Amino acid sequence: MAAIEETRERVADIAGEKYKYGFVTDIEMDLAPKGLSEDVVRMISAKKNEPAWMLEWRLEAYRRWVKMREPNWARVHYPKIDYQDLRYYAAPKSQGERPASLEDVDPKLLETYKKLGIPLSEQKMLAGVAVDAVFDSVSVATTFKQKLTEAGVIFCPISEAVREHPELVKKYLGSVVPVTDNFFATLNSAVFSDGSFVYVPKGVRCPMELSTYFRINASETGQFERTLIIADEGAYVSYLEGCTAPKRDVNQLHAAVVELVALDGAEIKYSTVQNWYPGDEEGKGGIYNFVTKRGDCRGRGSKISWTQVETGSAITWKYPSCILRGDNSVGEFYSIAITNNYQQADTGTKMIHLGKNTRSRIISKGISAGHAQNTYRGLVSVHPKALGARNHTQCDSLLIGGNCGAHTVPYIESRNPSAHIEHEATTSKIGDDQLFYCLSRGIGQEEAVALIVNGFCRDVLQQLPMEFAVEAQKLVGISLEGSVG
Amino acid sequence: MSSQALRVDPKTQLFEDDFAANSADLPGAGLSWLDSRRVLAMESFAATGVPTRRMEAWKYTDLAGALDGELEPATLFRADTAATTTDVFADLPGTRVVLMNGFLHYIGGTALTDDIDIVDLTQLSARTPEWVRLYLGTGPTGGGPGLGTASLALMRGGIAVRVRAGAQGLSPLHLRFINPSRSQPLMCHSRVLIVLEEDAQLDLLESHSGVTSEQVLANLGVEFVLKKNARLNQIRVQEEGTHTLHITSLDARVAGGAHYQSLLVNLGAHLSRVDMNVRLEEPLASVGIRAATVLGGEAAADVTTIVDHAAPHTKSRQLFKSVVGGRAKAVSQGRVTVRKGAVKSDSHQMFKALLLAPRAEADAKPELEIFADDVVCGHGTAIGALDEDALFYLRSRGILAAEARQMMVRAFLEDAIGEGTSEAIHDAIWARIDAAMTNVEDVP
Amino acid sequence: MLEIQDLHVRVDGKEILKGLTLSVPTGEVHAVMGPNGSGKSTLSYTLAGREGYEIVSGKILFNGEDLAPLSSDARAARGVFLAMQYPVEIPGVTTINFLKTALNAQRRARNESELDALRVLKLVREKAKALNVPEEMLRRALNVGFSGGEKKRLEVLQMSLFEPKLAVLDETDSGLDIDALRMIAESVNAMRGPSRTMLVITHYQRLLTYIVPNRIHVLASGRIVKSGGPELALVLEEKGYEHLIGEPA
Repeated sequence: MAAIEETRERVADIAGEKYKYGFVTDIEMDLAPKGLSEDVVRMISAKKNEPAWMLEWRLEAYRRWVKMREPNWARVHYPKIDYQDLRYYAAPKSQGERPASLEDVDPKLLETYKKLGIPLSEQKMLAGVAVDAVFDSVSVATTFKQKLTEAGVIFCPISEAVREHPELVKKYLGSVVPVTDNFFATLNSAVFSDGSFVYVPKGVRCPMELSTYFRINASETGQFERTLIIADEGAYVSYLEGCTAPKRDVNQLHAAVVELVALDGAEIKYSTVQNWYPGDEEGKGGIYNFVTKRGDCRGRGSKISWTQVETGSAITWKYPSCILRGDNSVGEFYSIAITNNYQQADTGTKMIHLGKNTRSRIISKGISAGHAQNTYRGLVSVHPKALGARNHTQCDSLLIGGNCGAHTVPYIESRNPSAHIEHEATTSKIGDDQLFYCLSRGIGQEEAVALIVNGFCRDVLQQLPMEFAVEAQKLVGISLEGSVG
Repeated sequence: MSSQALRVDPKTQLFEDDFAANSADLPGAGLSWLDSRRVLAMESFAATGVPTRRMEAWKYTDLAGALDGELEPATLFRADTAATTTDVFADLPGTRVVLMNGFLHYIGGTALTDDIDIVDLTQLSARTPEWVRLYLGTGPTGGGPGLGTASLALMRGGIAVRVRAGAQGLSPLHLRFINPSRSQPLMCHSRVLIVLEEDAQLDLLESHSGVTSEQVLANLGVEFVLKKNARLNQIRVQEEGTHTLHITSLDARVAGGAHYQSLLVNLGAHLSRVDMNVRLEEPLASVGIRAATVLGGEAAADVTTIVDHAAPHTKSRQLFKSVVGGRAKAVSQGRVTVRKGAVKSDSHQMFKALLLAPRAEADAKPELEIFADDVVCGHGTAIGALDEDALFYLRSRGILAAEARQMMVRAFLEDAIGEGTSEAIHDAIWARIDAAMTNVEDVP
Repeated sequence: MLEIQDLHVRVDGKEILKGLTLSVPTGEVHAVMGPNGSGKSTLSYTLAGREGYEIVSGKILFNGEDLAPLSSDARAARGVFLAMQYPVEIPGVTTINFLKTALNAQRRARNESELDALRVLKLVREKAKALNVPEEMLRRALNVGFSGGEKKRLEVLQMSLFEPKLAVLDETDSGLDIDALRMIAESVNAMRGPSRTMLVITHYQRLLTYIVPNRIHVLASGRIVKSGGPELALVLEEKGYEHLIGEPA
């Protein structure tokens, strides 16, 4: 018996190693009661000390949401979500009054981020990266604020921006993803808790990488972050988000909205390394990642570039998109989506060409292993006024094993004869000869798979900021452990 | 939700009313095997109704919007309107079958041999051959996707053809569908069933035409059954009248070693949709689908295919080319499914469109659905205008602009049409395309 | 010392090696020659441990250790190296990164310390120079778009980098022009030494005029049918395989 027990523990250990962010922080929490109602919306707004206009905005969203239906067109399957059985707000009690400086942040929280590899004390941080750390429904710390303020860059939790920069928030919030956009976005509009706000003023090149690290900790709680980034004329900013959550047997909902606005000549580079808990080998637990991300190239010659590395979540439903409104604007989407075990991903992009000479580029690499289903879904739409629009799409799928699925669903619509659209898709597996070649050179099976898959993803990995590319490469390998052999 | 409570769609009602009023008088009524298939088909049709753009598969083609609410069912109609349209393949030898508004009108040309049987579907009875009973309306989509079910439920006419095992070198079979309008809007529901027994081969030359002044819904359900090592080569030219809604729902079942080759040339109709559903059922089954669409005016043409690799070592190739002028719209949709275990499946789709006018539109949705790892599958899409550099090059060599454009359009379409077609067929098709091109407003 | 004893190997259910016996003393270079379809590639893949090459009976002993239970990467760590006839392309993986990964994987398996990127680069550059492999090639994806000659040179570069104890060269001369052949032969000859065993597998004797083996074995229908000194290559060149295969071994 003891031997069996020991084996079980070892197996659990091995499983645990694969998702090393699966721990829980034991901290006293301020929790909303379960369920969603106008009262809960009012409570969230009150917790954040929001002005009346913000509460009204939320309530309007809530009233719309009640009448909406959950979308079912994506190739993902999950049991019906009981929206009354979730909590919509959870915050560490110690964060009741947000500490003014890092020294005052609850040490348990600092410890949590340290364990996640995100030290928040500025001396220890990666030089040149400012971090906003969001823990469940609240931002617990934002680093390098002083240095950014000197450059004129606003980087703060969105709850703070609502109070401190209402004119900017009023002007841009919901201007890219309207309150009524879709079921999950509308839900987010009603109950969003925290997230980051970035404003880069005219002509400013943000002096450092900005990043937000999202951590879900509380159980039975949804996370509804809201991010708004505005790059004013000629500004440049590179932003990165990372996400992790504890291992739990029950699924948890994450429904975020991200809005980007690029004015004349501005550029926003938005990178995501999504590593929410994916569930176990049997498909139990994991995060439902239902996210609406959209960028508006509002100005002439503006550019928005999305790069995503999606390795986590039980279900991913997200389509970071670009509305290419300004003439000569550019949209890019670079994606790696890895699904293993019973993960499901339905992800891709929309490139809406409205302005003249707008250009877009899509590179998507989908990797499916175990019993996972991985779908690329993308829209390239050229409107009648988009003279000279250009798109190039490359969409590759890699299958590992005979029990998974890889699917490609592109929608290509052209209503302008001067536009040129090209789309290409391939499906393949890791070649036996490739694997053998690596093995015969002494490279072990798992390392060989990681190496080959990283090669397959190279075009996308190259788009990540240096500091994160290495991490992402490791993650690619870890996510596929146990998929071959 | 109850479909009864939500039933407000008068267009779907049109079909249901026809069925309710006339099912007892439809050909073959009283044959229990057919009655039950018709009832099932009608139920299945009613469950989804006339397709609208809200349905994913009909996202780009508004059939419900285009459909006249006052369509009357076509009746047997014998008149010599055959002469009012051009017969694309008039100069080619073969057995000629003419169907008028879906009713068998005439059989002529090369006499039939014992190798081929033809059954008039208006004459279904207890004496109808076994093979018709075995296959009619039994395809994998239950009569066909979209309006296919309605074509079975409301079938007024059509033909069934069988080619005996091992029969090869037959003279081509011409199926000429003429769908003229009459004094009022018309709906014609007809079926074609073609069964190729083992090792049989058939060249099928199909044309669809009609002069129209009122709306005609030509709703055709087609089933092809290819047994082991059979080969079917279908060449189809659609140049329906300007008021016609041409809907073809096609189910093909392809057995081991069999090959189904299809060339669809779409030149006419107000709205046309070809729904092809091909199932590669056994190892070494293969299919090749090519489409050439040339549209002008306000026309819309939609080619939608589903190719199901249901067995290992199956192969599919698809190449769609569209040339769109005026305010026309060309839609290409194709889903390739590789089922679990269907390893060594080999599939490729290419959709290309040329837009020649500022208000022309092309939409493409090539889709891959892969459940097996050891496969080679890919697709490509390219939509654009004529290459200005190439045009300039041709003009710099003294070729006039209009001629240069024509050369390039021809070159663009040629690889869809050229391969595997005899010179006579090739010339016949090009003659019709050239005629169609003159209608494509080629506004520089 | 490589000892192959009465080796029977099946591929896709078909027996290809049918009782092959061969031994190569440490420090020697032996050649295996044979016509197409004699089982040359099967021998090299079996030595390297490729999946699907099923040992039905017989033994492969290398320095006394049975290789059969070892996976391909474990064999590499023990110093078995196969220079392949058709080196494989791996898109997106740069050659230098591949070399570093492989070298460190082998070192790790042998409990040796891993080398950092700079050290590996230095080492590779040295080896590359001797083989006239340009720096630019190292930054390209592994074998992707390489010419036949470039691929073979890279195989030999790996051999000199990994310093294997047992090197198997499978048709390394195929697709090479005379200059490239000479250069590769020089590198291989430079690696001959008292602690290294080499097996050169080839169809033609051409390579053997540059890499002169201690012994030559003729493989036909899955067995060694004749063994002899280096002069055997010339006999084969003159009289062809048919002449030999007819005779009993």
